[in-house]
Amino acid sequence: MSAEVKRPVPIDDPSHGRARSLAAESVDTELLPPDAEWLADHLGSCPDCAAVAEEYRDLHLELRGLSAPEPPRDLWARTSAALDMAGAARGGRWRRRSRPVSPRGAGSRQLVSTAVAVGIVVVVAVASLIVQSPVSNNAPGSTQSGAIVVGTPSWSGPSGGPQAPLAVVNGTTYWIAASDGVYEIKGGSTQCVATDGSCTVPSGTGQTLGSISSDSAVSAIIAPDASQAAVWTSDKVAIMPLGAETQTVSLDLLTPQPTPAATSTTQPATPSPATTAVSATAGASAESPRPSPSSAATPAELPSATPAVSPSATPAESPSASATDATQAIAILSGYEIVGRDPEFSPDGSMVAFSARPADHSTGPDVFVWQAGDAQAQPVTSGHADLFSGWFGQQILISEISATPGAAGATPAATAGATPAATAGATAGDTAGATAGASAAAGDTAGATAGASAVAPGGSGTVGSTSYVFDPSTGESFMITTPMLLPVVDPTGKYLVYWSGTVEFDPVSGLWQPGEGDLYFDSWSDLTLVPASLGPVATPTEAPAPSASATPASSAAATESPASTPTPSPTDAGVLAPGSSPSPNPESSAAPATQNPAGPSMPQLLPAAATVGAVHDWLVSWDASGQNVAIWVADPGSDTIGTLNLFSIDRNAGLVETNEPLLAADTVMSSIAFDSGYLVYTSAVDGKTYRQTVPDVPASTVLTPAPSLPDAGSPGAGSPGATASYSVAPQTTDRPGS
Amino acid sequence: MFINTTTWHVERGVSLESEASADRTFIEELFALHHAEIYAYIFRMVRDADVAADFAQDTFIKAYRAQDSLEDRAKARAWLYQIAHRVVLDEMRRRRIVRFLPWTGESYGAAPSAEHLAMEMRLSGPLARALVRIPDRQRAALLLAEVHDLTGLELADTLGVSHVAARALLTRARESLRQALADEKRQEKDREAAIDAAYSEQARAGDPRRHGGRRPRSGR
Repeated sequence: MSAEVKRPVPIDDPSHGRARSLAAESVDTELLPPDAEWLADHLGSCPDCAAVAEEYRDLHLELRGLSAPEPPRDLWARTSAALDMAGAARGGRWRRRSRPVSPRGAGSRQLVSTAVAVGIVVVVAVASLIVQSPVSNNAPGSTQSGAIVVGTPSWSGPSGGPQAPLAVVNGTTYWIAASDGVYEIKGGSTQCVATDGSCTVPSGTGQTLGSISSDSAVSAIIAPDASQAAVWTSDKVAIMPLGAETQTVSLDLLTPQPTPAATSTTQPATPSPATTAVSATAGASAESPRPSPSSAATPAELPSATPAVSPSATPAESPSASATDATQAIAILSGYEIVGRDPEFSPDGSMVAFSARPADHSTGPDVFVWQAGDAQAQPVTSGHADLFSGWFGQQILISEISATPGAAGATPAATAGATPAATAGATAGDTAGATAGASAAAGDTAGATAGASAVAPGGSGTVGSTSYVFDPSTGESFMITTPMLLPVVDPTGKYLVYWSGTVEFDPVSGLWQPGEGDLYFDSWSDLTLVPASLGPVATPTEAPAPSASATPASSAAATESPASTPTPSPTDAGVLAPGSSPSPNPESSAAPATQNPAGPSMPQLLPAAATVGAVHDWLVSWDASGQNVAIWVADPGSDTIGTLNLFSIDRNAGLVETNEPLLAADTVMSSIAFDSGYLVYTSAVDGKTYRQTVPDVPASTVLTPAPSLPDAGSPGAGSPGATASYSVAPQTTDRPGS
Repeated sequence: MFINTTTWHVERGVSLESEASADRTFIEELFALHHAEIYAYIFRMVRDADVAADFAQDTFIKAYRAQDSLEDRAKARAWLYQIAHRVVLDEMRRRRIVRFLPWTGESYGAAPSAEHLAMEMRLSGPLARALVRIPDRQRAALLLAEVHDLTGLELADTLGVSHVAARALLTRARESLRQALADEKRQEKDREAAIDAAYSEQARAGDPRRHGGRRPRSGR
């Protein structure tokens, strides 16, 4: 059975649609007399509509006849105990509370959970691409990235529907099986049916590679080489080895070991040179992405992560490098819950990055990085509003939602039902405000303690989203001047997909959530990066905005103009940042004519959702060649089922061929990955996992992708580190004739 | 001991301790009044008793922590549903809960089968499956309006949308469920026909063990 899902057949005659709508409404609502009369007349002359109306009534009766399930007898006892703990926990804050401020604070600097999902997908997707493609896997040192899975034994559904696999890598499927508090990470051979493309893992081929016991739901990702996994619960993150001989790890009993050079992750960061390696000191790693070198750099001049560029900032210098035994499971963070996208291994498997916030929600999320050999994960931001967006080579993309106190119209209200919306695609002015807002947050200790936002209760602020490129080996960070949330860069470093729209504060979760927004395709190499401590630099050509008529995000982008640039960069944008070493950008030098040939058409709105502005939860996955991008968008109201589109990129024209998607399927599970020339996805209709062939990219022309930094087009602009750090093969080139 | 939350407008005292105590008392009252229906709603959404209990507990804890967000205590019931609704959707998202049987065919635990669910909720098998198939938000709207008797305004508050949007969502939900149910019934009919055909084929082949070519009926 094909996973292509049938959409409701449109009713050509609007009167039938109106009749069915009124019939549905009339089930439990008294229609206005004119409507009721019209409906009666129509049903009298339309047997089909009359039958539908009868079905509505039958459903109504059957639903109303449902019996009520009995709550467990101990529900009050356990709730009461939890209330006691909650009361004790908030006792300290209680006395500072004054109505109408929430005890937890207004939380304007807290972040996105939905975006997280989005990001999660993206991150995973990127990793999957880089890793799972046979092209990339052929090269030594190339990585294979696992996807994400959550094992919750009690959630097996009654439908007999599908469960998406954790990851599919070179024909091997990884998944999590859970039973009675034990979670097993398994792998098995995938066999696909040629006729319909559906795939299964024959029983008996599965092998347990890791076992975890926990009283909490456990999630996991697999390292690129499947040698270890990152697992986490609602308040703990751990790293565990995978192998044929497994011992069950009791996750609840693991506690992080102190790292000699690391201070507590809950301690505020102290400013330090941005060139300090993340693992060298906690201070450096705890620094917000904003701190940066004093000199500016264009996108293509982003400092490299290579030892040659930053000789004093190599991972080997971590004082805690020998603090752990790779054969033992270790807890790398405790007392924090993952926020946003799932953790993800770096392409070489040496690091894990994620965003998390204290389990008591006392502050918003920050980004953490764990490096192989370290005993603990270290925070690399301190803004309490930062989300891990994904890996780009050995660098990290981070998105930060920030608020500017005093600006009007975007203060999150703590009252239920009053969800404010703010523009996430920050304007240039917003970006400047982001820095100010973040600074305010860092100094707002009272707010941090109370879990409040940077914006004072009752105050106001403009909310925006700014994304950064952060190098964990040097501590340097660069701000992407184009406002965006959770960017996903293709493995070749030429294009990216990001989200732009409004964010809304959810008082229940205390996080910002994506509101109305869309995904955009843009040229990564044409973006501008500036050291994070500087004000944004936005010019019409550097930061093109979505068209005003295309999206709500355009309202924000429309305000982005040179006139709105608050403070021009005082530095020479053509000067490399300290420690960087220019090197040619293979892509840009090889095909200069293709650098954003579309010009003003960028960014391109991706029609991934049924309606404009309806992308709230999404996944983006590039294949290793950067030739194809898969985009999954959640259905309204659903977290796990959505629509999947597979688009091909015209890399010469710099456009996504949106009119002819290679695949357009709905009712697809929220797990997608590229593997061995296929896009692998799971249908929620029949529960089967399918493979969609992606256009063949000759191996001779698609070598191991080497991420490159954006190229602003400056003569001599380089992408240090891109080729130096990942120079396992030449940069990916476009397909001949494409 | 408990009072009607719709008329509970007692001005709380200035004593912080007494305020905290009053807040606790208020939550206890809400629990006594509404825990059964909140649990039932959550159960119908997640279809697992243990998870529903966890989420119900979370709902009241969140309500306790966020009492200041309740502006009008006359709307406490809808406010609770709103929190429960968010808990369900957020937790499902956060945990990335997989609600389906694994594609590998491996059991993932003791979650209720569709048949068990149907018995539990007195639903027909096709209707239970159809409910599972429609989007979470639509299922929530249907359950809240049809089963839990939320008014249009309460439904809108719970879902965090306008009244008009809530009505539209409910209409779409009914249509989605109708189509899903029709599809489920059609599939069930097809399965029955396929099985009948297989038995007939075996009968024609002369297999005496196959009840003379007629398979035993399930009694449905």
